[in-house]
Amino acid sequence: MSIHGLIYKGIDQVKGPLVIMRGVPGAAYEEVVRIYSEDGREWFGQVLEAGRDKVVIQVLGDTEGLDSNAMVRFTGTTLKMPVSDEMLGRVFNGAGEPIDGGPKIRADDIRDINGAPINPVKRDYPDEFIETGLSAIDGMLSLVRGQKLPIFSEAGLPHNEVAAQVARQAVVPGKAERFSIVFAAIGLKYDEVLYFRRQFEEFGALSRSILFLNLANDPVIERITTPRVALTAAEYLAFDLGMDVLVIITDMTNYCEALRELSSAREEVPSRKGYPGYMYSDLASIYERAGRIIGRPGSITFMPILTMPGGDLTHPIPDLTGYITEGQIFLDLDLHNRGIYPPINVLPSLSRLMKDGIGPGKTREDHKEVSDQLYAAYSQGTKARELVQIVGEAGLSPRERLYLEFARRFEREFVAQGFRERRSIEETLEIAWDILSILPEAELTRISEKTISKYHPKRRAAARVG
Amino acid sequence: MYHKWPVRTPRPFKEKLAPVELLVTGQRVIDTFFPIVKGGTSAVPGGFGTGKTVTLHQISKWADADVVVYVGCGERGNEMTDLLHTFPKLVDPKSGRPLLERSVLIANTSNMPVPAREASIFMGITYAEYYRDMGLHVVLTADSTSRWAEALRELSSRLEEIPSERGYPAYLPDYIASFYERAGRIKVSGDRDELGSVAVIGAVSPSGGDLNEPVTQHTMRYVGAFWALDKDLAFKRHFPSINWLRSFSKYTSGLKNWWIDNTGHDMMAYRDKAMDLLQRASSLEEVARVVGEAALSDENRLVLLSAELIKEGFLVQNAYHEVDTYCSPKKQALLLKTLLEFYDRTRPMIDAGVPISRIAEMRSLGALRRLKFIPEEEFENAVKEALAQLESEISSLLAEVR
Repeated sequence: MSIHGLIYKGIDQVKGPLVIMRGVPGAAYEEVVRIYSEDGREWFGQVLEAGRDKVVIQVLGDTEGLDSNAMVRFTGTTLKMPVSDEMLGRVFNGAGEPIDGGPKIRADDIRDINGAPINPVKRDYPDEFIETGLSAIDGMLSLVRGQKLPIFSEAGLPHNEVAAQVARQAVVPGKAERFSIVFAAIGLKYDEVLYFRRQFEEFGALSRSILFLNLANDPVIERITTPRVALTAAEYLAFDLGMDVLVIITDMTNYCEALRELSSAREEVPSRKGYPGYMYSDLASIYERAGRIIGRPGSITFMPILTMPGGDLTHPIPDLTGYITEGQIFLDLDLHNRGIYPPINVLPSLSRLMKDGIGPGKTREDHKEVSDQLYAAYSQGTKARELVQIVGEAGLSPRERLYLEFARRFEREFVAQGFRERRSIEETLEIAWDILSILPEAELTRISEKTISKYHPKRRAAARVG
Repeated sequence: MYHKWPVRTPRPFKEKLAPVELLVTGQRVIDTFFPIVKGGTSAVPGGFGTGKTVTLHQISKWADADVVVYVGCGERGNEMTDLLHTFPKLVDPKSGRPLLERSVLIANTSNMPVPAREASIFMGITYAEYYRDMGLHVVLTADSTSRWAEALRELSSRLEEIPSERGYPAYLPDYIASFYERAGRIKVSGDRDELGSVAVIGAVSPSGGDLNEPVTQHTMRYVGAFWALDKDLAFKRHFPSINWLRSFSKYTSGLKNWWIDNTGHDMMAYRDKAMDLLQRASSLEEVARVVGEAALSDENRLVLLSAELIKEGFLVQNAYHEVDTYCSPKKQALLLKTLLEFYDRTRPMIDAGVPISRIAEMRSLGALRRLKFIPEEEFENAVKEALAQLESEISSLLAEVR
C-alpha cells in the first residue's frame, strides 16, 4: 500500500533529533518526511527505522517546539537534490538549498545525494599530475587527478590558508579551462566561512565554484548531508559535464562529531571513543566518491580537511580517514611555531598515488629519486636535531652536523614559501638539488649515478667549465 | 568443473601434511628473515601508510604459486583498479602468460555493502581450496581482515547481540581461527596421488596502529609468520617497513635444507649472523641516542656501519624499481653473504688502527649498497668486482697505518 502524500497526525515521542511514531504501515527506510506543526512551522526529516508498528524519523534541524499534535507527511522518495550547470557560482546550505538570495535551481536532473559506489573495474586509474605550486606537496606528496588526499591539521594551524592556496593555484597542466572547485564547510565559524568566500571572490574563482555552507550554529543533522550534497554536485560536474573538480571539505572532524551525536541519540553500541562502529564504512561512502571513470573525461579530486583532536594521530577520526584516503598531508605545530608556512611535515605525510603521477612525460625523470633522497636525508637531519637536545651541537659528528644543516635548509628553503608564491615543478626540483648538493655524493644512495651526473649542480657546473 | 559449495564449510581432503617448502616471494626481508611456506599462514599488521597493501600486491605478483586469490576486503577502490590495470600487463615468469590469468580478484571496496564484505573472505578461501583440490599451489591474500572483522561487528550490533571486547562479538576469535585453519598443505581427495596447498596472508589494520587490539591479538595466535610493519621505518621510507625485531616466523628452522638444496648456500646461518648484527646495532643505537654516535668506540661504530649496510643494501627493497622489485633466492643468498663479508673483512682493520671515519668513506661501500640494483645475469661479476674493490681499498688503508 502506498502512503505517498498521506498525512499522519499523532507523534508518540520526540527525543532530541528523533521523532518516534506508531501505526504507519508502509513507511520506507530513508524516506523523506515533512513535519508541520499547528503554528505553521515546517521540519524536514528522514526515516531511520521502519518497523511494522514503530517508525523512527530523524529530523533535519532543531526539534524545539515540536509537539505530539504535529502533522507528518511521508513523501515516498529518498533524499534527492536537483543538479544543473547553473549551480556554478552559487552558494547553498547543507541541505542543498540556495542561500545567496538567488533563484532556485532549474534541474537538469534529480540525483540521490548518496550517489552510487563506483565499480572498481569501471574506474580509471589516477595517474595525472596536478600542480599545486607548493613545493612540499608537488615535490614530495604529489597530488594526482582523481585522488583523495586529506590535510591532517590541528586547531590553530593555517589549514584554511593552505586549502585556499591550493584551490587558487592548482591546475592540471594543459587543462586549466576545465577546472572547477566544489567547496563545502561543515560546522565552521562565521569568520572562517567569510575568509573562504573572500578568497574565492578575490581570485575570481567564484564563477567556477560551488559553495556549500553549514555554519557552526546550523542544524547538526545538516552536517551529515553537507558532504553528500557537495559530492553529488561534484559528480554531476565531473562525470556529466566533463570537468576536473577539486572538492575541498572542511572540517571533517565536525562531520564525525555529528555522526557520533546521532548515533548516541539512537542508542547504538559505541565503538572507540563513543564513535559508531560503522564510522569507517560511513566515511568510505563519502571518500570513495572521488576518482575517475573509464570513458568519462572528468574527475573528482578530493581534499578533505580534518583537525585532529589534541593533535593525536591515533584518534579514531584521523585513523579511520588514513585507512581510506590515498595518503595524507600532515600539518605540524612545531613547524608552525618556528614560523614556517606551509607547516607541512613531510615525514608522516604520504601520497600513495604519487608514483604513478610523476616521472618522465609527467613531471621530470629525476623526481622520484630526488623525493626519496629528500625523505631519507631529512629523516637523518631530524634525528640529528633530537641528538642536539641531549649532547649539544658540539657533540655531533661532522656528518651529523651536515645533516642538521640540511634539515634546516630543507625547512627554510624547500618547504617554506609565501602565501602568494607559486612554484613550478621545475623550480621545486631545482631548490631540492640545490640543498641536496651540500651532502657528499656518496650519501646520495637513493639516486642513481646516471641521474646524479645529469642533474647534480656540481656536475653541471663542472660540465660547463669542462 | 562446475559445482556449488557452501563458502563457510571447508572443502574435504585426504590428509594434512607439515608445510616444509619455502613460498618464494622475491622479497628479501620475507624470504630470508621471516619466510612463509607453501600452505603456511601469515599476518601483516600495520597502521596506514606502512605499506601493507604494497607488500600484499608484491606477493600477489611474484609469489611462486600456481594460482593467486586476492581479496580486496573493504579497502580503496583505486587500489583494486591499480591491480586490475597492472595484472594484465605483468607476465608470469613461469608460464610466460599475463599474470591475470593465474589470478582471482575479489573486490569489495570500502563503499560497497557490508554484509558482502563479511562473506568475501570465505568466498576467497573457497576459491583457493577449489584450485588446491586440483593439485595446485595457491596463495590467498586478504586486504584487510580488520575490515572483515568490522563488518562482523556491524552485523552483530544490528542483530543486537551482546558485544564483547571493543564492540566485537564474542565469537570473533573462532571466526578468525576458522579462516586461517583452512590454509595448509594437503593430499587431495580422490584417487590421484597429488599434493596441493593454500597459503593465507592476511593484512591487519589495527586502529591507531595499536597491536594490542582484539583483531591483531587473536590473529597472532593462529598464524605461523608475523610481519610487523613499523611506522618509524615507513617515515624513513625504509620499505618494506617490516620491523626485524618485532616480527617472527615459525618456519625458519624447517627451511635450512631447502636453502642448501636450492641455492647451495646455508642461508639460515647467514640469517642468524645478520640478525645478530642487527640486534647489536639496535642496542648500540639506544646508547648512541643518549651519548651521541661519536662517543662510541670504533669497534661499535663498525657494527652500526655494517648493520646500516645490511639495512640499506638488503632489507630495503624498492617495489617500483625494475630490477629490485623481485630478487631470486640465489641472488638473495649471494647478496647477503657478500654484505656480511664487509664486516668480517673490516673488523681486523679496527685492531690495526684504521679510524672508522676512513672505513666509512670507502668508495666500495657505495658499490655494495647498490649491488641489489644489478640484474641477475650480471650479478655474480658485479659481486666479484665489488669485493675486489673492497679488498684493494682495505689493503691501501692498512698500508697507510703501517
